[in-house]
Amino acid sequence: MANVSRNDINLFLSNKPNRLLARIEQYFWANEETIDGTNLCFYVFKPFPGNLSPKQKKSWAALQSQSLSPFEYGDRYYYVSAKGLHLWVSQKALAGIPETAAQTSLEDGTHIVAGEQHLYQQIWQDEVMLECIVRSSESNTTDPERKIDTKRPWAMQSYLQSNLKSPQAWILITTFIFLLAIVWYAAAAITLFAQNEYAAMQNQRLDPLVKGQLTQRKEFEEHEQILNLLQTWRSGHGYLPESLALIAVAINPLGDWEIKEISWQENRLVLQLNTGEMDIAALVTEIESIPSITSAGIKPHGGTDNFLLEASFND
Amino acid sequence: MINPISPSKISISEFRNNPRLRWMTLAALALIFFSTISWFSDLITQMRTDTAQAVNFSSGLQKISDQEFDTAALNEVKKEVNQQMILFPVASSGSVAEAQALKELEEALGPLITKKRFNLLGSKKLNTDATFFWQVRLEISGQLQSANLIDLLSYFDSTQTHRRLNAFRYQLNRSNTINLVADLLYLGADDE
Repeated sequence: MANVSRNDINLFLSNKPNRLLARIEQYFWANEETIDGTNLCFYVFKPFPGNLSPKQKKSWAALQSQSLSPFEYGDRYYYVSAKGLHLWVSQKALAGIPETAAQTSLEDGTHIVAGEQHLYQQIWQDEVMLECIVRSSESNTTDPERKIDTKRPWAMQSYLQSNLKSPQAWILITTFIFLLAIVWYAAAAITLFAQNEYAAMQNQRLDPLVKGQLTQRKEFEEHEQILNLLQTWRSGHGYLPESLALIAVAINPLGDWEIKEISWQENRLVLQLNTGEMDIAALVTEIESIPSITSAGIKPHGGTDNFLLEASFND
Repeated sequence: MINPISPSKISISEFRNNPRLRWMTLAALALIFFSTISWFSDLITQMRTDTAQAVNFSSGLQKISDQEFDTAALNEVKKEVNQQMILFPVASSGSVAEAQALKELEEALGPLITKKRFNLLGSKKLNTDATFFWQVRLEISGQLQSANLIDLLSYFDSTQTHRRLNAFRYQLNRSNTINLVADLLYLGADDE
């Protein structure tokens, strides 16, 4: 990892979207360009001088392609990569892209590649061809390591990339997205409008049918509300007379008793009693057996036979 | 003869040759598209809310029309309310209700309690959709002979429609001291 420079990483990252676009382009517009494998081409690679702006690079490349071309009536093909100018010149008119421009990039190093008619010795670095020498078949002592592969051209101006840089393409893309959105919203509006209309028609049809019923229902709810209020109000703090009577009925059979104090609040009755000879356990049992009592308790209070009876009633 | 060049041709030519103009056109178009989509989005949201309300209302009406209303139950509840309302004294305001409550308790409990003191704790309006009531809260203290206890309690028993005991304390061992808080309910009546 220490051997990999920052520039290499940047180059790799910047190439990634380009590769993706190249794959997309290859998928949709594969083999649309004619490849010339017969004409003999001379290849020149010239790196960019100094720091040039993209526009300057473009002008520089156009100028270099003209000045480096030695044939007055020949033909040329050039490609501008991130590293520099790649120029192919031919003595005759080219019938398409030179096959070494249309070939798939090779690994770093020197390779012997067999073209359609010629044999090439190429030097590659970072997916860019630095040198390409045409070897005569007579002097060929080594066998080519591979045949030329033109599935993914390395030096061809990407149709997609060039178009994605133009404002016209973005105007088209934006308009297309806008039209899609408009169609979507229009469909939604039509659906909602239809639903709304249908609901309105339903309402118009049902309104006379249920009008009387609605009034009756409202009346019923109002009267019920009054009854509920009155019932809640009356039972809100319990009923002391009835509660006291229940206790008295339960205690009376057990013997004589006398009330010294009565206290009542929030359904809770507290009686201070003089129970005389009464059986206290039986008294509590009797009190607890009253259904409306939720809890009951008795405790001594003051002198002999004086007790405090506490009973809570349900609502 | 001079061949006049039409403005539209100049515009098209300028558009083709000036990349900045093309990018600005794109920016302007993007803004217009964004505003239009935003307007459509708001419109659809509003339409969706309106439609949901209309559909809910419609389904509610459908539900009501599908169910038969029990008119007998309405007559029954009406009758019951009318029977109860007759038992309530009417008060046109909170102050009138307070005065009536004081008068009523004075008349009913006055003869039973000696050294009595009446304290008005306040009045409150209780609302229903159709009518309203005035609740008056009073505190009464004094002395009550044990023989009068039954009479006093029966005045507040559960058959009484418009009065209730809120709190009660009766100390027979301490000079028959009594202290009670009572609530009285009056049917409200509009002044108009």
